Amino acid sequence: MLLSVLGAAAGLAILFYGSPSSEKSRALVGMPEFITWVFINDVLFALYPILLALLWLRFRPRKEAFQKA
Amino acid sequence: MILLALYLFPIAIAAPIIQFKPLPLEYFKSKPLIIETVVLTLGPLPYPWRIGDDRSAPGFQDQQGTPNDLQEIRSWSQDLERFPGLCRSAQRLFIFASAALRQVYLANDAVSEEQYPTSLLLVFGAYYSLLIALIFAACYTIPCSARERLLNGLLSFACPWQRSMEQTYAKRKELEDFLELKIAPDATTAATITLLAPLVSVSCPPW
Repeated sequence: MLLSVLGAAAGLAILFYGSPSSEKSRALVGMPEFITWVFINDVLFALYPILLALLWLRFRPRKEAFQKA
Repeated sequence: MILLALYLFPIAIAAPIIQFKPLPLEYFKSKPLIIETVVLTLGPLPYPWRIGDDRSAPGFQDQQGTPNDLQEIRSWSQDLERFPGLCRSAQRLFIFASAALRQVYLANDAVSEEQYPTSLLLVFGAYYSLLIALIFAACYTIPCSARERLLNGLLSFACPWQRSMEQTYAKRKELEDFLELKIAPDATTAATITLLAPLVSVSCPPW
């Protein structure tokens, strides 16, 4: 959960770094198309830490077991 | 590294082909590129990397066939077959994100419909469908060959004229069922859905 929040925060930080500082960029950031794009990417940023943690937790002990065999 | 290059290839060639005008967003050149690279590389890429990594584990090639090995290899291959589902979801969201980015460019007149037609997204989806197919093929062939090797090692076929043939055949069938060597119809359906996911995502964007 914490990883997921951190991932989402990192995504938002990248997307909104340095913006919106001008009138045009403020208008862009308020557009529904931009919000949709940000939302989908942020969902991905939140999901990936979970996916990586799952891969690590499920496969790591198995690899060690195979190496011991 | 080859897979990473294959994943990033469409992004690298898209910009010079489509020729976007600048968006009124700070760091507009680097932001979409960073975002798309991160969502691409962190999503589906660790999966084939893990398969390759597990295959290279020294003990994997010569399992002894103890009950523990059988259980391990069975659950390991079940996990491998489960992960394409996650890969599929990530890939579908990535195609949605690409379609959303196209809408942002169109709404800001940074690109015209002629320069960036929906068919390009379809090509994009088809390309990633092909890559998923390659990952999926690896996912199925590696555990299947490991299980077959194990099965042949433990219960090799007896000659048809030997009395033990019938007994061996029954035992092999039981072990085949336990190791799930036969692909179930639902697995085939799941495979088809996984392969078509990026294409379906293009034709049904989330808005």
